[in-house]
Amino acid sequence: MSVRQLWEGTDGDNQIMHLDGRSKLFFLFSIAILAITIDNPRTLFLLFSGTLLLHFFAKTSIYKWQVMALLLLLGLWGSMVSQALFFAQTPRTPIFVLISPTFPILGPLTNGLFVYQEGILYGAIQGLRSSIMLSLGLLICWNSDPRQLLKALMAWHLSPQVAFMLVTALRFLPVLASETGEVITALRLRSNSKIGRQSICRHLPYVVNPLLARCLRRAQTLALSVVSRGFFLASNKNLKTWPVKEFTSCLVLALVVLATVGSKVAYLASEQGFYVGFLRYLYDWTKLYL
Amino acid sequence: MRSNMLSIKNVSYCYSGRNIPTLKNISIDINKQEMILIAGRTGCGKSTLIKVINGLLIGNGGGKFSGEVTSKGFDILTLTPEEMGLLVGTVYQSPDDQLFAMTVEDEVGFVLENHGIASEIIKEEVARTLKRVGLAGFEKRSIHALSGGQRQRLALASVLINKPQILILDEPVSQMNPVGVKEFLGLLKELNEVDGITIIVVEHRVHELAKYFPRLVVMYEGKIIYDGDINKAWGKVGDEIKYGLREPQNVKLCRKLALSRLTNETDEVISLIRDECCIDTIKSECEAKEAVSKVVLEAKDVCYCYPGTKQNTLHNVNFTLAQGETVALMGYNGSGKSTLFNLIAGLTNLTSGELTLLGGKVADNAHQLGFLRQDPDLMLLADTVTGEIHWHNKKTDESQIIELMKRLDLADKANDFPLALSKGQRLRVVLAALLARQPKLLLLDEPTTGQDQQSMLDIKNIISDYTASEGTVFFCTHDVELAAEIADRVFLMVDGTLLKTGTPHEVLGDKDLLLKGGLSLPPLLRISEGLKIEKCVTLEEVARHVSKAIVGRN
Amino acid sequence: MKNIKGIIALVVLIVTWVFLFWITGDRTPWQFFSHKNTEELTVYLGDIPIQNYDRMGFTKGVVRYVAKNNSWIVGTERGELFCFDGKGKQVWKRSLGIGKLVTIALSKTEELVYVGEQSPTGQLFAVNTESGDLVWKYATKDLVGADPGSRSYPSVVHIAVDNEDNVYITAYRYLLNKDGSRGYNGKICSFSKEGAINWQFPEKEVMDTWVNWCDVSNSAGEVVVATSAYETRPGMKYPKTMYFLNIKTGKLRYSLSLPIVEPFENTVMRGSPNYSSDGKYLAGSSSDGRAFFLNSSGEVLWTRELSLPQQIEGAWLNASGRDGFVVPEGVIFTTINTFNRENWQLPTPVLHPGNNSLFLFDFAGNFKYKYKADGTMEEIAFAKGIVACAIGRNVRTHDYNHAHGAILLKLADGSLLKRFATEGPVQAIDISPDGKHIGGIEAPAVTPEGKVIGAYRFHIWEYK
Repeated sequence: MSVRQLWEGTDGDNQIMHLDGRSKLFFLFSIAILAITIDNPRTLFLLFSGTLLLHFFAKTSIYKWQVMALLLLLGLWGSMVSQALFFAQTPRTPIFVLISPTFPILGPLTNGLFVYQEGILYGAIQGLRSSIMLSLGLLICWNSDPRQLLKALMAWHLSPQVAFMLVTALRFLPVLASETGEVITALRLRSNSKIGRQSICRHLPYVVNPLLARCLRRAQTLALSVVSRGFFLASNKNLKTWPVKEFTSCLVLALVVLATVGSKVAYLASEQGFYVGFLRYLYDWTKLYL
Repeated sequence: MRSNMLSIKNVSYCYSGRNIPTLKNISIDINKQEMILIAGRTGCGKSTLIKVINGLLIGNGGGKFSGEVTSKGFDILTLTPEEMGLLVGTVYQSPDDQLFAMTVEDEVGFVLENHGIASEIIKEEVARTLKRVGLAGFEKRSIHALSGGQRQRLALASVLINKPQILILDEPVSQMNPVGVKEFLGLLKELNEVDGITIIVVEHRVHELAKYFPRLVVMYEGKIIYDGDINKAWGKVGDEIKYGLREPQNVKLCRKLALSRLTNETDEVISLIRDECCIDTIKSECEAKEAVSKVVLEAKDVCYCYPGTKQNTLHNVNFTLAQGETVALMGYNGSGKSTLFNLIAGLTNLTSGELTLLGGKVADNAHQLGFLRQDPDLMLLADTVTGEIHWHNKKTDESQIIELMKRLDLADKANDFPLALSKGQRLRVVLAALLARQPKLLLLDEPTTGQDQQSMLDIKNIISDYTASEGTVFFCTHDVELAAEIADRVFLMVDGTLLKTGTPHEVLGDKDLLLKGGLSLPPLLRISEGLKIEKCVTLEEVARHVSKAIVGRN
Repeated sequence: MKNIKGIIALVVLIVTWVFLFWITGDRTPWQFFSHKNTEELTVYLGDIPIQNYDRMGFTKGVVRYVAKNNSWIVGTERGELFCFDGKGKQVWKRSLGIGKLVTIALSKTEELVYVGEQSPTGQLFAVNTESGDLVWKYATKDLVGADPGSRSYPSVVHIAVDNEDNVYITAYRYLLNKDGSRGYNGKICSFSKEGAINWQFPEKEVMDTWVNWCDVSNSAGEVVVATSAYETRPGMKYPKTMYFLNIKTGKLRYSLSLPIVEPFENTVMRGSPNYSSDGKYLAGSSSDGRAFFLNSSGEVLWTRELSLPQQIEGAWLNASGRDGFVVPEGVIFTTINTFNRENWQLPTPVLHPGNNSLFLFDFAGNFKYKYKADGTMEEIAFAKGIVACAIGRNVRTHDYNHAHGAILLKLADGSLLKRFATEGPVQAIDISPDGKHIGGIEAPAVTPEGKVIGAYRFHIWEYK
């Protein structure tokens, strides 16, 4: 599978592909809110596992799984390792000493380098947040026609220009990916370097110019093309109605999200003095699960 | 007498921020059911003229406009872009840049959706239009799964469905191979004849398109310098390099032989030659190129199979390239040409066989070759032309670089941003950057695609100079005329094997080979047949058999 | 090779998923790294500014054990009140405002907990122990004033609760006026269980002395208030050491001045006296290091010197007395750190031998034993036959490694039953009536060397 194919939506015939664009976007927004609101690591983990399960349902190819794995791992471990080493909140419990404070030169310089227990968990929480969104975003990207999403955004009265910008990015990701590959090949040829991560990393700054120029030219052409084809005439009159089942599911999800946010707000308010006794079980539940 | 569709009167336009107008007092009448070819050098104003015709100029960029554009007496500048879209449909050069949807049916139906047409009607219209452009049954196909030619047809279908009265196509065939060009132009002709659509095409490949378009409009520096019968154009503007027209070979032959008329019609040329020239049917001996012993590149039983596929893309490819040679690699799209180039450049590894570059392994010597890829824009990395040439090339002598830039007509662009230059200039900058490293072997993948006549001449000169200084050039092209003119040898690749290697005369003079290789027949071949002389593929070859018979004629 | 790399990525993702499952669950890997005693549970109480180890006013906290549901009520310097169950799990938490919670008492039925704070309003809160609901509150600024120009926040300094769940508080405010003069505003107030004011003493004015302590006895029918004014001023209206009030009306029955010892100008009681359970006796210790045993009429039955002030190298040193309790085993008194009488914060050349100690005398005044701790006994609490002591800082020895923690002593003979060590000083403690569950609040501190020791956390220890 080429880089370009990686970023193309699938031709796959799965349920997620057939969902209305509004349902997909709503789901994405809702999960984003949940990911931000929830602090409980186990709940975030379950949410993350849920997004991975959706990939199974969508029959994401092995190659895409591999790419996704790479991106997820970078985020998760990057977050955990950085927080494990540099966690600054209290309490913090060192579980490993990497550099002792008495170690010559480095010790006094750094005041010691430790791996903190709370840091690992904190990093896991942050990593899970970004992983949830990455996983879900890729799911939507790989299983959506950009026009589905465009219709959804316009149904929600988002400015056509902004909606168009959002979905155009999706549409041209494969093209951009392919061109990036071309530029990297060109870099390699002109610098006589063997292909590899080192070569790519070293030459990344040079990738921008040709891609940007190409994007600008493309943007102009695309803009002319869609304008002349009446893009700004698009009205909501002929938009398909939101399928009832999907709408209902989204409504339920909205209620769940509202309840979650509401619980969290109530809990935080109770911490600030707005404590109401009969909500104690809500506070308990929030503290335990959210 | 055809009725007037569109009337452009005294139109001038100057983009904001510029001092010199891009269009200067343009007047042109477009009639119903006409087929018009607009040609001219890069930067002459063709694209801006298109925008005037399709109504997308006003309000776009805020420049200064003057003049009148009417359709049946009605001022079309008052129309919205959407309303103009019903009158004029535009297909742009690169299909990737204008296709927006994921599936074919969504793309084609886009314009009708925006106009609020019911989905059942859209479905019917989509099917009808796809059938029209030769993509019947492709509704559910992903756009990414289409070939380049299919995507171009799809782009056409996406505007055709709106039933425009005028269809404008901006360099629609610049990326296509000759077979693709023929098919596409055939489709346009059909649209013109059957559906009565006025077709306006902007292209550099005048030599190939001439036979389809009765009317030629030539632009130069924002003005129309010729507008009329295409056959009469050659005498007026054909031989002026500055206008950037590439004359058809027939016309060039007429000019070379100083025939009384310049015509593109093969039968007419044959007839004129018979009437006005002496024909020598004796076989002449071709000048053989001096043999050079040093082998630059050798391929022995090279095979390559893409990962995940079972079939070999290249099978047992064997050839050698000698120092100072210019070799053309030709064949239809998908025959394996680019794959071979990637192997030579060391971008991929052989499945089996042996590839020796400059006496050693490809990996060890790849730094001694220069590879111009199909999309040279993506090879431009620096902020200035000089910076581009110096990129990873600090050791080259400064005087050599200045000389190189002069030869490539880039001397006055030294500090310009390469990506802001014209297409031809961008290609020359990349070439300059490659040549500055003094490679032993130059790989050029379709170096003349989308280039105007001047750029083509520049490239030919560069290649010539390079090989004269013992460089070797191995280039990919569909352009039979170019290959015949500059190549010492031609390799014809079909289905991953080298079907034939030989001199241009040997390879390009064989009709069967040309057909098998998906190449267009050079018009000079037919003329040779008609004149009953040995097969000729270049003007010089014909000229060896045909002499100017009438004294006093130029 | 690419295939292998891809497979590795997937395998690592699976392993990461398992790892995340493990660390996000209840059974975490942290026990592998912990050397903690399994008898102990710890709950973090939040971030607070970390005070200097030698600072006079140090981090505090308050804790009480609620026997009826085996839970702990903990009040912090952040103004937060927690309820933890016996396993350390938070039952409820509520923020009571921006003040420091400085004193706590449970109602006799353990239905309510009364918490006092030091804040711009100096609130007294009555909170339901089960739900955490605020039942009522009262701002002592109305008693002792709160204008910022005079500095120092009003505070509920101490709370006592009688058998009928009436609440008695000492409200106090130290004044530093713009002209440099100092003053005290003190008041004793009695509330009903419902939060209605029963009486105030004095009724129409404030006491111009530092009032720090009160206790109540239904049997004696009175409330005792102890004062802590180290310096007396001419014209002071309330210069005496103790005032005894009618429990019902708040009217003054009598007052008592205890004899002064050199070099003190006044006899000051900071953390006592307390009634015996039958109300017949009072035990209290003074800052000059004396212990007093009184009857309910205010008559001093005997006095003992826990730490006689000594003059060494020109400076008077003494170990300050603080607690006084009457328990079945006898009379308990405690002393805290050695102080230089001239300036409390100056270092002392020697430790007073009587400092940081717990003394037991029999009812006749015979000395039974003394237990000397490595640090200040910040608070003591009693269970059946056991006394739990919170061992805090020793600003003289700076023994960070060994001093801090909680100890259990056998009341009968003062033997050490159990020691629970902590990193930082323990500032508050309580013990369940059966002596099996002990709760203590540890505070963090910055040592003079700049090292941070301890954390603001609540420990639950089990004693088997």
